[in-house]
Amino acid sequence: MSQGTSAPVKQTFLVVDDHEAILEGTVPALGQKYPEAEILKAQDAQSARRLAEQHHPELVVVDLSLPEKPHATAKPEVGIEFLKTLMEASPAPNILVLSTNVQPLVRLKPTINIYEGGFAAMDKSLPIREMLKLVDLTMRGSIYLPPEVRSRPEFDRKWLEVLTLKFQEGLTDKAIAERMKVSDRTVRNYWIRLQDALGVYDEPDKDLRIQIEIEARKMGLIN
Amino acid sequence: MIRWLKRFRGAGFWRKVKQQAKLWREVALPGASIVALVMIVRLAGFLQSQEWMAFDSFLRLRPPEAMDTRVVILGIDEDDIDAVGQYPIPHRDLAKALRILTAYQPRVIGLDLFRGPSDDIGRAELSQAFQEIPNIVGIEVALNEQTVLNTSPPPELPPNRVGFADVIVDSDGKLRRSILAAKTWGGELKYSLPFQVSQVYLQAEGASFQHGPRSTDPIRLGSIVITRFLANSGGYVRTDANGNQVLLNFRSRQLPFHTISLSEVLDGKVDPSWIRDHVVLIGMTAASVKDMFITSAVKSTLLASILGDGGPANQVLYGVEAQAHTVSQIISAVLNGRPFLNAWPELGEYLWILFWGLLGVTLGILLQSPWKTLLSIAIATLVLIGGCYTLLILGWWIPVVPTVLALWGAGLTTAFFDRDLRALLEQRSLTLKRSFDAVHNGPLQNLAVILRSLDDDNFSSQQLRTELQSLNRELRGVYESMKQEMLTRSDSLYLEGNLVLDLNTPIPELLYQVYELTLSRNFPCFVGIKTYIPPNFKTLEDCPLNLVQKRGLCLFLQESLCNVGKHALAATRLDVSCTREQGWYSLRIVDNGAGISNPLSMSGGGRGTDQSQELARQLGGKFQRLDNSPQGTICELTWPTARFWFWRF
Repeated sequence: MSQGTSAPVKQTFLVVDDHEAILEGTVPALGQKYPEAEILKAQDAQSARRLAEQHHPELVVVDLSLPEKPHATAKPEVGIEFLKTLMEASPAPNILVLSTNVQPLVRLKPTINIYEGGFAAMDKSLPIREMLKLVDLTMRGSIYLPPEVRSRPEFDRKWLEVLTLKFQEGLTDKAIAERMKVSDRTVRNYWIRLQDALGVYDEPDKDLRIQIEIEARKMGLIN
Repeated sequence: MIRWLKRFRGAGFWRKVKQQAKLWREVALPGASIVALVMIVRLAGFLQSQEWMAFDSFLRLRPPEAMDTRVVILGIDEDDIDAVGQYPIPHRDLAKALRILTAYQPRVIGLDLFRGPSDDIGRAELSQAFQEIPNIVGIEVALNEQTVLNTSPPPELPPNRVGFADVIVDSDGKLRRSILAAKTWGGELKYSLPFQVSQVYLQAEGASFQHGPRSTDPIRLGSIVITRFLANSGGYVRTDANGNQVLLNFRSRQLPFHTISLSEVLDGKVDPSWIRDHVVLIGMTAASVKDMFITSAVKSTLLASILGDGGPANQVLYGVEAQAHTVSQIISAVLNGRPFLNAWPELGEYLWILFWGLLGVTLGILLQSPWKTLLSIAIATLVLIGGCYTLLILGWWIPVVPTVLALWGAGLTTAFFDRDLRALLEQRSLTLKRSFDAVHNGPLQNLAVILRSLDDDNFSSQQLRTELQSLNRELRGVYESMKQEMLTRSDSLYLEGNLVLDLNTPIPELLYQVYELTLSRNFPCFVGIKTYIPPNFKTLEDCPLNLVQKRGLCLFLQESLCNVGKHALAATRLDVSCTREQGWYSLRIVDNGAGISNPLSMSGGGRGTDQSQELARQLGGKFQRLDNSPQGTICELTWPTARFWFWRF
């Protein structure tokens, strides 16, 4: 919850779904949890793209199967394309994908791993509270993919680079970001993902980075 | 229950019959309409000239017959005109020639010449010759409506020794028919020169002549009836068949008749045996006189043999030659039983075309492969053409052109439609069947279990949820497997576990799918791996690859990952990288397992290694398997970025 409150003064969320019923369920729930946030709605990829460009939302909740224009047929390809443009946007929004079929996300996995923002995906049929939990994770910068998309412990090469630069060359996050030509936020999020992947949890009396280093050495990720 | 089943089966049977009938109807209809179209086109007369061409060609290509020595042509050619020094030939020379010929005792002389200059003083001599020689038949032109165009016969000859020289030529300018008898516009029944000559010749053979009062009445000569030409005979469509015409059955021979010249006769250089008891036809064979026709149906003509020409398709036939062919045709028919050219009745011809058209349809339906259809239609065509040719030799003109058109048109159309339709229907029914099987074997069974469990008190909503979720998954699986059906074999890659990849997808995505799918398989050595370092295949985005190379790369990745899964004992880390550096692409699969020094790891790797080498050769790169340090295996494929362009072109 702490991450939610430390966010910029005015939060903007964008919810994209072609089903009115889903929008009606999702939007009030989000509104309840983030009373400060302005929640925008879109029912097709075109208007969603426009809203995203205008408002640079901090969070985008999106259905994979979307129509390109109003009243067109919904196709997962359209959703994937929309996701690709979102993920190239700057600043990168945190993304939560809600869909009846998250399988098409498999092909985006390499991009997701190195994505600047948080990214989560879930089956639409899961309860609203699950969704809110994932919104939280996403806002934190984590990656969460359902089991059918993520089935094994993966460490992206970029994350490992962060480890090496930190623990073998002793660079600061800022220097790492410069060296890797990514944003500070990206490096921060890579740490969060390493933490998730290594199963390191925040404990009040332990240093998080040291914990990560210990685990990474155990795994042989750094020598 | 049993009754219900029976009824169901009965319904199924009828549905099948109906479906088959529908298939036949849908498939046969296009072919049948092509046949109908061919018939309509023929009825409209658009195929007439093509049929004439085929007819002429077949006639020309008949095997040669014996020379007909009973008919002799006395051709007055350019040399004769030069020798005599004038044209028309002076009456005196003609009279002289007639007297010399008569001395050789010909049975009949046909004089296919009109009178010469009227002021000729030799006219009296000719007139005398006409009166003294009893077996001369002269000509007239009698069938024109305007009498000015008609020419009267020599007045000395009685009507029964005069034949008309009128001819009828087809619309393509070629001579194929001969008028034997016709009524003049004055209503007088007259006969042609060749017919009169033949009749005189045949009288001596004792062949009687019978003809009704109308010109169209059948003409009997001895034991035969002359086959009269009709308006729609053979390939003809609505032709002027007035009078009693006959199709010219040209004598098939290079030089069908003895030919002599006027000078030879006047100089007494003629073999008397050529003339004795034979028919002598006197006419102009000088190209300058223009008494000639065009034909394509003879092997050679007098002009062609002078020119030393092997016989082009269009040949020039002198009038007297045409008369000789007609005379020979009539007397050979009466005396030797040589056939006239016959044609089937209209209905027969169209049934014949229909038969071959339907044969085409049947071949198109029965033979599944288009090549087989093509071959069988070609064979049928050969049989058809051979048959028609043989029948023509026997005197029957059977339609070839429309029949071949109907056969090919119907056959190919049917094959085309049939293939499309059948493929579509087959695919439809197959997809339906598989969809049903898939739904039946999976989700429906589970649904049954769930329904049964609902009565069970111990069944919690959590269990229900799990069951429904798995049902949900399974139903999606049906769609996935159906999607695979749609991919054709050539551009898809089959992975184990019934997975099919479409090779047309971009290579990064394709390799990523292979990566995902292979790693999710149950291989013993995958269990211990704690660290997967996923590749970024995006580097290959700009690498130009054809389908074969794509398939090769996918198989290479699959094979290498499988090797890790099977042989990399105790591996904890799998690093797959894909890089592009300094002009080289490199795909590396690195594990920290037992390594290649382990004898186990090399077993059964032979085929995969060969494939990898082959792929490397294709890409112009190299493949190697190295030891990783401190332990493990590196499987590496590298290929140049630049050389690809050479490989592409």
